[in-house]
Amino acid sequence: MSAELKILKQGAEAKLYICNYLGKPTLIKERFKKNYRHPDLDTSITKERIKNEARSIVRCKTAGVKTPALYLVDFERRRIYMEHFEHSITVKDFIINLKSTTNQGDMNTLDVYADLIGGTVRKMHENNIIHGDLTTSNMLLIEKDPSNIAENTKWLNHSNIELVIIDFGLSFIDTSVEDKGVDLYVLERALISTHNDYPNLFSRIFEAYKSYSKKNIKEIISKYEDVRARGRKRTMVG
Amino acid sequence: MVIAIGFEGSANKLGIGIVKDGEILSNCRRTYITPPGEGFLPRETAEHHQQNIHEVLQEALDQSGITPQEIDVVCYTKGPGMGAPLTVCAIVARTCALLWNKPILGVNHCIGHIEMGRLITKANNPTVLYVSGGNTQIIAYSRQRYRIFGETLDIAVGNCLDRFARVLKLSNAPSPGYNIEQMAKKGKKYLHLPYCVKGMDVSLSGILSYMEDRIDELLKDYTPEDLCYSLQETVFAMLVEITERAMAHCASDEVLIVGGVGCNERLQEMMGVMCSERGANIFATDERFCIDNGVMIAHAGALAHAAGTRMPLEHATVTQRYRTDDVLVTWRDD
Amino acid sequence: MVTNTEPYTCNLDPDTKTRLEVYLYKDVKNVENIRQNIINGSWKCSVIKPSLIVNMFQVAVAANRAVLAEKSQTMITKTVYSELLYNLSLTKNISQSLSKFGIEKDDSILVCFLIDGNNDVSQEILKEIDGEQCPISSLNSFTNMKDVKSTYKLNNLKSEVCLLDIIVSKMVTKSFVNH
Repeated sequence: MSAELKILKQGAEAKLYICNYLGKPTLIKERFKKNYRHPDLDTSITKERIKNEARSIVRCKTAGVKTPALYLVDFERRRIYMEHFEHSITVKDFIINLKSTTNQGDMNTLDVYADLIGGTVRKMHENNIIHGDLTTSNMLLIEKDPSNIAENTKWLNHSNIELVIIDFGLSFIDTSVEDKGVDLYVLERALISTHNDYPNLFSRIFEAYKSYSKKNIKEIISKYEDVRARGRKRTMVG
Repeated sequence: MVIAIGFEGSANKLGIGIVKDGEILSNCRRTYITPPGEGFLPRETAEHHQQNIHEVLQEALDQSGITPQEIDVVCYTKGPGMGAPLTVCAIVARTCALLWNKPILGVNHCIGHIEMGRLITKANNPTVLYVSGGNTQIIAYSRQRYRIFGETLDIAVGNCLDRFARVLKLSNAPSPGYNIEQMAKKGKKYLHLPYCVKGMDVSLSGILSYMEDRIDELLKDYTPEDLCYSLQETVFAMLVEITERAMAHCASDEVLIVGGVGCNERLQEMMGVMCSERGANIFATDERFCIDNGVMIAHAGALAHAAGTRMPLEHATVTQRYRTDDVLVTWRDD
Repeated sequence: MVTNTEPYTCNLDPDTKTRLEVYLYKDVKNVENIRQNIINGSWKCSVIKPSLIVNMFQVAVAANRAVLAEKSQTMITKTVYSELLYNLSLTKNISQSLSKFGIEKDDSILVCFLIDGNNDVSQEILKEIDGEQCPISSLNSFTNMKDVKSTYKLNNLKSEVCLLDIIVSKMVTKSFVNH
């Protein structure tokens, strides 16, 4: 098995492999064993994290948010096997490429995608799914119906584009309004640091988020503004 | 060449130290120790500092061989910390500055720890884990600020350990944390406790209240040593995890542990294992500098003073809340 | 009956060195006899109701979990064949799972074999089936969407999600998520 696994990425928590599994292109997320932890603690944390991640992924589906299909949840090998989107682009790369192929003032092109992102995050939050790491690297664009259009224009055909949310490693289910505010704040910071050519991007996303539905929206906005005003998540006591 | 004197008293340690261009000339300290089962309160702590500060000041001057005339800047802890104890040191520092006709400079306590750690260990640009009775933060330097990447969402890890020591009625001498550490070394049976890491932050009040609420039942199946062992293994694992996440985020290969809890050998050991698995280096100081002390305030103050930072006397106040990232790090330009 | 169409084949987890083969039959006349052979363990295969299957991949995912559980000795049911059926369902109730997905008086069936190297008994068993083999591609003419949606609780879906995606995702998380 290891001979056929290709490493896609390695982080502090886990390694990502790609392979063909059960006849499908598959992504394997394998969590590391941490030797500084007591073995019982390590096993229990890892198991809990795998469960949280899988739970969030499935819950998104019933909420109408597209996420990778799950093929196997393997506590023994500390792995989640899931759908790998071979023909996709991260929203991050899409936005960065956009700059080089279109005019700066072409914010309108991004509007459709911003609305899609805002609505998607709102759907997650309405179902109490806190992503925990909302960045444009954790959002993918895929085609609903595969086409043969050239790479640099296919993603602009927005009626055939779907948004996929990935990497639920830090996610959890919580009804707390504060966590939703924090999720939004993390997204805002990520957009500022990565896509500062589009300074209005977050506000467009946030508008779409707000207009998606009215439920609890005032509290969420208020918490988000609190978190933002604090600059970081808590004030410190000496 | 800057000669600085530093006054530290934000918690139960009163420290005065003198430094000359990074060379430590004296480092004197007294600790206010309460009876077992009791924590220290602001008023009594301030009284302790008041009763000892003149003696410690004389000691620091005598040991260093420096006269007040030779001092370039009088530094003191502006915050964060407990109000009344901070005020005692601030008043004495202000008086000295006026008496000796020297500039005064208020220093951020956390930055004192960080700069002392960098001085002693020579760590270049580490990810800093600052852990004490009052603080738990992950800090990394960027563009003239010590930025907080992660922190506790409620209580500090030292506070968590100290309060557990009170539940077990352990002695507070030399410190409750030290006694928990010694007990933990004898622990054998591991108890599964609530583990709470959220992104780059940790939450410690849950594990403390879990133990406090069940202590009588727990002691039926576990010895106090087992409980100390399990508590350390759990909270330290949480700290190592957020440190590792910050390192991955910043692509850093150095860790510096500062603050009183940084003296704990088990914490250093666990952090060491994580570092060696990543090919990173770990730096830590010993109890002279981990634990609150005056010389770290002097050194951080000296750095700021040499870089041109000045503080008018009217601003030489204290504040209980003082975020590490509020300070403009004028002495670094990387 | 001469088998002249290819079965669905899928290599399962490499650690198990097993491959899955599935055959589809209609107009089966000896269902009761087949059922007895399954129950008394003499036929080493799983027989599934095609009406609740939307895609062979659904069976592959269930079979894969079954062979892995067999290997690590963590099966919930008695045999790897009943485990396959159990894995198709969202309930933790074994007998409910088996009766829901297994055959009773049906006249169309899916026959699944787990083949690892030398013990391929498929041809002997298939000879005993009194029915007409169908191409795997015709599976959807046997699928009952209403039953599928109610079994997998898909009636409240918020938008157009791919059913197979959500079905297999629910199947593999059933031990720790309430579906």
